[in-house]
Amino acid sequence: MPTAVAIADIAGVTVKIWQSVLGLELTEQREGFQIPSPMLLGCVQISGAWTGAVEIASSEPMARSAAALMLQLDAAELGDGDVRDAFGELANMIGGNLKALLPGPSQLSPPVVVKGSDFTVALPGTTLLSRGTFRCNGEPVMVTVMIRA
Amino acid sequence: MKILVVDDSKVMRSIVIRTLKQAGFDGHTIVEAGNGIEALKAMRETPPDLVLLDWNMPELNGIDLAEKLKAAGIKLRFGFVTTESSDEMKQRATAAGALFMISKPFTPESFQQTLGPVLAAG
Repeated sequence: MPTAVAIADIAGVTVKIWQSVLGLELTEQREGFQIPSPMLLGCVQISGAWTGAVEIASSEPMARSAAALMLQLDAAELGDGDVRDAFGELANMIGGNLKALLPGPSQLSPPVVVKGSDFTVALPGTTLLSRGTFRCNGEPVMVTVMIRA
Repeated sequence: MKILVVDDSKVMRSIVIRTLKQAGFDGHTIVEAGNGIEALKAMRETPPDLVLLDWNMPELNGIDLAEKLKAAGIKLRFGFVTTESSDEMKQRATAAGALFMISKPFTPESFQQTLGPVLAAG
């Protein structure tokens, strides 16, 4: 059983979820990738036979569009809570599907979602394992897998 | 039939309910609960015919709820709608009495295929 997650695995899972949950195409973007502020970051932690975390980050407009599609409501009608809830669910699904590729048994934490500008999230004791960067309708999406040493 | 949808995400409950309708199961009464504790309260008020449970929830998660009810001898027709899909979790779900496990993300077709026979048997 692999202990690592390749960029191809991240791409496979994220593209599948974007397509099936949102009905949107996601394409990989390697050069010149940036997420403008404000941004959202959703994180789930995995603990057990494999320990680490999966983070998804995107621009606020991307997160809001995703929430609108998931709730079938107009983006302008959504509160911040709805957008965070939806983004947390995307983190949950991406994290859960990546967890299925890793050694088990392990547990998935509930998602934590942060929204803001000019911030970083530190997960002490972890290092970057793999990262996929994408674009959807011109908006950035990034999925990162962190591994605890 | 009364179907109880239990998930701590309001967004996910909305998607599950919409997918039930898209799968052709729109003639049923749908009730929602945000965690295992709320689900227990809803079950006491009106026993559901079928429960769709998320696995990971605060307060009381889905698998702990299912195991508690089984230990108390309470018969429940239920299954999980969850990202958790490992073999050990499937075994634990089956041991707790789960009739099915539907993986997230799901489609109306996966709901039809899995829930059709369950609802028909109701």
